[in-house]
Amino acid sequence: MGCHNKMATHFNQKYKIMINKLLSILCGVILFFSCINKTKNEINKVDLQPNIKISFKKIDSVQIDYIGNPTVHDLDPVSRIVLFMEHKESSQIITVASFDGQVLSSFSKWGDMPDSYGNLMASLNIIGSNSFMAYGSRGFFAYTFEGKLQSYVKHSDDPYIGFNRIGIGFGMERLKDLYIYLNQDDYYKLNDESDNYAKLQPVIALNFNSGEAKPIIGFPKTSIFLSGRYFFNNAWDPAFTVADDRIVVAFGLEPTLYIFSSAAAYSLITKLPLDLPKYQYFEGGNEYSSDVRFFGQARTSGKILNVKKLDGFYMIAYFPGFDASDLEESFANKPPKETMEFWNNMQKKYSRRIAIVDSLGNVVNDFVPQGLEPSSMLIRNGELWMLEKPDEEIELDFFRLFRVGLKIEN
Amino acid sequence: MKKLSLEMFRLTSADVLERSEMKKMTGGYGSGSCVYAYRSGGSWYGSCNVSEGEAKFMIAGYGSNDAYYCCESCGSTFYC
Repeated sequence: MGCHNKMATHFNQKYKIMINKLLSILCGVILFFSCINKTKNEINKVDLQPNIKISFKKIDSVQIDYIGNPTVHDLDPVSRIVLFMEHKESSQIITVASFDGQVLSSFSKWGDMPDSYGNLMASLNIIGSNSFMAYGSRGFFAYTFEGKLQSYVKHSDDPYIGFNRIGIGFGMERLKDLYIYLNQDDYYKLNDESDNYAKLQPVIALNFNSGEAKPIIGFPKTSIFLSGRYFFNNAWDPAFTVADDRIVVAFGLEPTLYIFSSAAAYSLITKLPLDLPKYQYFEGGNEYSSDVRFFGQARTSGKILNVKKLDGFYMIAYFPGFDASDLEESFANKPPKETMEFWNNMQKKYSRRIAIVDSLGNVVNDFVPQGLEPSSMLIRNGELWMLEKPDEEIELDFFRLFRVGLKIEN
Repeated sequence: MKKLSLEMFRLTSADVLERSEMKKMTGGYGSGSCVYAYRSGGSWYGSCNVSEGEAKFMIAGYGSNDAYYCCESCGSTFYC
């Protein structure tokens, strides 16, 4: 009995030590997670305080001396390279420049040459310290910064060349060994007889090793594109980004962020409806129409152009859309001079804007960024870079890119 | 008029485009024979296989260096 009690006491002591150890570990874990949550909550507190605004501040810049109409495709803060192109109706010249502004090489891969990418289907994308890739009508190409072909993989299926957007901020986004991009192949799936938006999968995953372009994300059930209404071409062109191991998508004119898992099923995790100030967009027609009042909305409707995430906040670049009066005037027949004047006025009146949105979908600030082109937002090496908005009145012999951070203002 | 048949062209069924493939060529939804491109905010935007009305509307107001469109025999252009 005594022995039994001794054993029981010994067992209790061992048990107590074990419990204490477990409690210490548990406390450590709780403390660790409370620290993480504190950081998160601190960000959310900032989001929700009504007097605090978050805007952009310029941190660094790169200036490239250049005369012409450059279209910047990509940059890399690690190799300190800017990749841009002079697009003309019948030529494409790629230029590689350093962050110091020095032009390192200039060459063409467009036209009748064995290593041509054909027609470009996306912005060029820097993939290493001395190489970039081109997603073209002839396949997937990698070239060195000197213009030498490194690799070439044919498309597994012939792509539909729909042309969409080319320029900084509109490129492919890396997801593990794949690249996320918009699906140009979607359009032919719709026709006047049986429009079925449920068939569309506006987001694809490109595999540069196999040449496969696999549609991965369609419209969620609550999307306006599944509401039974009809939309003009490109109305659903996705703005997208890969952040925090999630794929964040805004489908064209629909003011909602949809957040999908980055794992193979790419399932919808959550959605954040966006309450963008003065956002006016086409909510769909009763039928498909070849009338300008239908297809012309591609130019006049509000639309989400770019989405990026920095320091826990989503940055949404968007075109706000015409009001009813300007919308009506845009469809009126006018002489060429008045037409030119009207569109110039509209360009000044309806600037592209940035909305900064917290993780709950609240718009923390909404503004036209001073001297920066909203749609050009690009995240590289965890840094946000944007193209300087050129002065329309003055022709410059250089262009600039700015590294931008978030500034908290009271 | 004599009805055309595949035999006349010596085509097999494998040589004939299916409906979905034909749509790829014609553009299907909102199809047309025109293409347009315009430059805005430092980027190029554009579309292939649209109607002439759509192409003209989309580039109205842009300068000649910042916008192009063509219909039918466009030849090689950088955008389509």
